[in-house]
Formats: sequence, structure tokens, C-alpha cells
Amino acid sequence: MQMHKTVGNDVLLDVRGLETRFYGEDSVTRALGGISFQVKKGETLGVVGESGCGKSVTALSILRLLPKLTAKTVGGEIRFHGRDLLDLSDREMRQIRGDQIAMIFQEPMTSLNPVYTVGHQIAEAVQIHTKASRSVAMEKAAEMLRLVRIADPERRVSNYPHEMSGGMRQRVVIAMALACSPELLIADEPTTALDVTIQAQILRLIVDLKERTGTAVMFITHDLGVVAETCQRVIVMYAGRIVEQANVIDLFARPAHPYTQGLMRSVPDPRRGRQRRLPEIPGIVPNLREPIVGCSFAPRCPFAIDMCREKTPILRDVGSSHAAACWRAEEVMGA
Amino acid sequence: MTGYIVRRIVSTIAVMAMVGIFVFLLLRLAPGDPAVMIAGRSATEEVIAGIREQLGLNDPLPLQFMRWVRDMLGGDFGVSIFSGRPVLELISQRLEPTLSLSVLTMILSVSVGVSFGILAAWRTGGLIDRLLAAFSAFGYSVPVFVIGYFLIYVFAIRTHWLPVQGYKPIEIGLWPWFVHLILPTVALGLGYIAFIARVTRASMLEVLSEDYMRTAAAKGASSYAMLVHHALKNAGVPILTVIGISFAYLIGGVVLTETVFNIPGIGRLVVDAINNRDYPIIQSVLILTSGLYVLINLTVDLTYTLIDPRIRY
Repeated sequence: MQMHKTVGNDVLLDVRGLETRFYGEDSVTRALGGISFQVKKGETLGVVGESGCGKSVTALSILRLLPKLTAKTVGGEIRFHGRDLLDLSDREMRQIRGDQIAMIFQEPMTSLNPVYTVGHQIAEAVQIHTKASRSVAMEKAAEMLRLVRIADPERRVSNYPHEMSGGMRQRVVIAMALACSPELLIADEPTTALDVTIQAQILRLIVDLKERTGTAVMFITHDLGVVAETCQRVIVMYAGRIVEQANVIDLFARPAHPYTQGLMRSVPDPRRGRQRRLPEIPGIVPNLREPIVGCSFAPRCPFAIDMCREKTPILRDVGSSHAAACWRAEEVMGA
Repeated sequence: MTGYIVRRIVSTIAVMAMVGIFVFLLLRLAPGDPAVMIAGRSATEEVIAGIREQLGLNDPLPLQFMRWVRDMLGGDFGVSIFSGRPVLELISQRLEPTLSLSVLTMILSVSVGVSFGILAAWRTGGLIDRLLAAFSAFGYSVPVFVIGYFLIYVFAIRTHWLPVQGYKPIEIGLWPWFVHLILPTVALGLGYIAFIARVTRASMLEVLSEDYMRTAAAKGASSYAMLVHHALKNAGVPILTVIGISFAYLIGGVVLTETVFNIPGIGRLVVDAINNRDYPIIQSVLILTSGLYVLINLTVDLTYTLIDPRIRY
């Protein structure tokens, strides 16, 4: 954890040792096994990993939006503007949500309330965090719709979500998230549920708005292509832990964790022509309900040695601002 | 929308015609001869025959039916066999107590039931939720007359806080009117509170796990705004439906409650009419309440469009 010793002024969000658990009938799932990372002001940080690796749980833990009855963040700190978000009262946390930290969700079809107009829903975000009157907030809503490039915003504010397409709804969700100019935008797979052509538009929109507003973005995705296009830095998650973090260029040039390598190999590459079969990572994701001894990736890892099965590797520097949680990172990078 | 309303009115006429035939036949074919009831058991055959002739009971059934429908459409609901007074007059005299009891019961059931359901859904498995589970088992299973007499015993006979029975018309004063209605309203309302609260809870629980609730939370919305603003309106359609059903079922409960609390309302009128085989009263009340049900249903269906913009007719 050496890289967290120096916290410069450019750090916006500093997560340390975050540990979140889910409680079932008679089991405890260690969804996050103590993860640490930072988001710097104005940067775009990619969070990559397959389903169930803890990407979304990380986002929900930061905003404290986990289901109250079944999930709990049991350890760690989430430093934002010098305060630990985990220490805030519910009221203080509400003041941060949607104002300083906003979030975009995966499912545009269901993340808008069907019984209110989109203008109303954007205006609500404005009215919660400012003293704006209804009419001023509605003007702001129309302005936000224009910002996310929805044609004819004055008319569109009075549309209901069901009168819009998926791509348009996601634009509305983005407008809503950006309405209060947040310092950090958490985008949880914002393009996954959309058509490919719409995906590209939404991605471009997010990148573009980020440039214009200077908002830092935490971009959660399982799509390495999206990461390559949008992010400066990347963290790769596996089984509730960070296994690698690096600049996007370093990550693609010299992946230091066998899991990252596996992820990259399983991305279809048109330049290689029609492949016999897309290489996949053998084995399955470990069950997080049981304690894991050694490296959680070891059972699926072609590099695994006895040490990997006995001792859990910690995240360690393997280059300048490049860290990996692998005992054999050097060999992996050389491979 | 206009087309829909026209269609609904047409179907309402069809429904009412069916109800009319049913009500008419039900009472004609039921055992017991109204002419005998009027004349008394000791009357001679001639007297009874005279009464039958006078009431038109000897005519063929279709003719009797047509005459009955024609009179009703003209606003003539007939004359009570027993008291000889126009049925409509008898009903209107008894309307106020019944309407007062029904409306107060609905206000109580809807306000308490919906709030109770929201709170239970908000903290599932919490104290309020468990309280609701126990309360609704009680509210469903204990009949109005048991609750009624229990309430009378505790709040009227033992403590003298409230009057035992009876009804005071609203023109005597709002307070005496209200005081006399408290116990009947509570006794009648408990079951409906339980019913509405259960449905509200279930409907809210479903909505609370929707994605847009998380979106609202991510905006920084307060718990109150989340529950009342975002969730309740989405949960509204099923809740509104059970409120409509409750209102329609209310009549049955009103009859019992009026008996327990000695309230001179429509319920009592009907019970007396059944005992006396007073056909015109029974028929008229049945027809009028059926009409009311149909009207409530239509209102509920049209109100859906106000709650959910996706519903369009």
C-alpha cells in the first residue's frame, strides 16, 4: 500500500481498505476484501472486471447506497474533501449525493421514475441541492437536456420516460447526474444496456462533458475497449480485490497480472481475423462466501506456483505508478 | 379517452340490465308470498287475491319486469308494501347515517391503512411491520359485531367516554354527530385498515426495489420524498384498486355495524325489508347500490390515468 502514503492536493477521493460484506440467510459474502485506490481531480479512472468482482459494490459503497438490510461496509475509509464518508450522518450524506458525487446507472430503461416527466426528475435534483424555485429548476432541466444534446429540450422536458428511447433516457440520466455540477461522477456500466451505435454516442457524450465540466469520472465497465477510449488510469478488480492498477497505456502495453492478460486476450480483435475460438480464462470466479487462502486467481492462473496458493499477494509496485497483486508479476510482464 | 368513457357507459347499461333481471327474478322466485305478508296470515283467500291483483303479481313475469323498469327509469321506485310510503322517500330518510358512516370509515381506513402500509414497507421486518402482521390477522378474523360490542364495553359502558349506541343527525351539531360515529367507524374500519395496509405494504415493497428508487437516492432525495413522492405514486394503482373494492364491500359491513350500534341507516332498512318481504325496498336498494358500485369502478379506472401516465384509454 506504499502508493497511498503521499496524498497530494490533486486527490479527490481516497478509498482505503474498503471492506463490504453481504449477509445472507446463513452466509457472509466478502464482496469487497479491503480495496484501496484514489480518484484524482478531473481524471477518468476505469474500473474493470467481470460480473460479480465488486465494481458496482464499490460504487454503491462510496455513495452508501447498498441495501440496508443485507449489506454493510465493515471497514476502511472513504476520504472525500478530508472527511470520511462512512462517518457522515444520513443527512450529510444526502447533501453529498447528487451534488458533489453523482451516479449514472446501467439500466436506462428502468432508472427513471415512470410517473414523472423527465424535466421534473432533473429539476428535482436541482431543487434538492439549491434553493432554486420550481420554474428556475425547470429552466435548468431544459438547459441540461440541451447539454446532453437532446433536440427540442423545451418540449422534451414534459415527456415521460416511456415516451423516450433507451439512448435518450440515458442522456436524461446523465443530465440529471450533471445538473448540480458534481466533482465526481460514478458511471456504472452506462452503455452496457444500449445498442452499439448508441453506446458510442453516449461514450462520446460522457467524455465530452467531462472535458467541458472538469468533473472526475469513475468509469465502471467490463469492456476494455471502453477503457482504452475513455480512461487515463485503470484499476482491475477480481473477486473483491484490486489486482492491478496502472496508466491505461502501461496496462495495455505491459499487463502485470495474469488476470488482466486473460481479459485482454478474450477481447475479440478484428485485426487477427476470424479466430478459431476466443481464448477464455479457464475456471470460475471463486465463491466469496468462503475464506480464500492464497491468491484468489491462483486456481485459474497459468503462472500459479505453490507460493500463490499459500500466501495472498498484496498490491505492489511493478513500475512507475503501476502496481499489481501478483507474486510473479515480473515474469507475467515478461511473458 | 372520450371513446373509452362512451364504451364504459354502454357497458354500464348492459351490466345494469343484467343486475335488473337478476334482482327481479331473485325476489320473484324466492319463497314467501308478499300478498300474504301484507294481508297477514289470518286473511281470507279473497283478500289475498285482491292484493295480488292490485300489485300486479298475477301478470306474466316479463310484463311485471317491463313495468318495473319503466317506473324506475321515471324515478318511481315503487311503494313499500309494508308501510305504504314511497321507497325513494324511505331510502332518502335513511341515507344520511349510512353515508356518514361509509365516508368516515373510508377516510379512516385509507389514511391509516396507507400510512401504516408505507411505514411497514419502509422498515421491512421492523417493529411496525410486525405490528401490522399481527394487526391484520386480528382485523381480518374478528368480525364487526365482536369488535363493536367490545368497543362499546370498553369505551362506552366502562369509561363513559363515548355514547353506547344511536345516531345524531348532522344538523343537530357536528360534534354530537361525530361522537356517535367514532365507535361504529372504528369497528367497521379495522378490517379495511388491515386490508388496505397489507396491499399498500406489498405494493410499496415491490416499488422500493425498483431501479428508479436507487436513482432517487443517488440524487440525494430524503426518505420522505423517496417514500411519498417516488414510491407511493408508483404503488398507487393497486392501492387505488383495493380502495375501490373496499368501498364497494362496505355496504355489507354497514348493515352489521348499523345493527350493532343501532343506527337508523340503509342497512337497517334493508334488514327490516327482508324480514317483511318488502320487495320494492329490497329491489330498489340492490339496484341503487349496484349502480353505485359501477360508478365507483368507473371512477377508479379513470383515476388510474391521473396516477400513471403510461395508462391511456
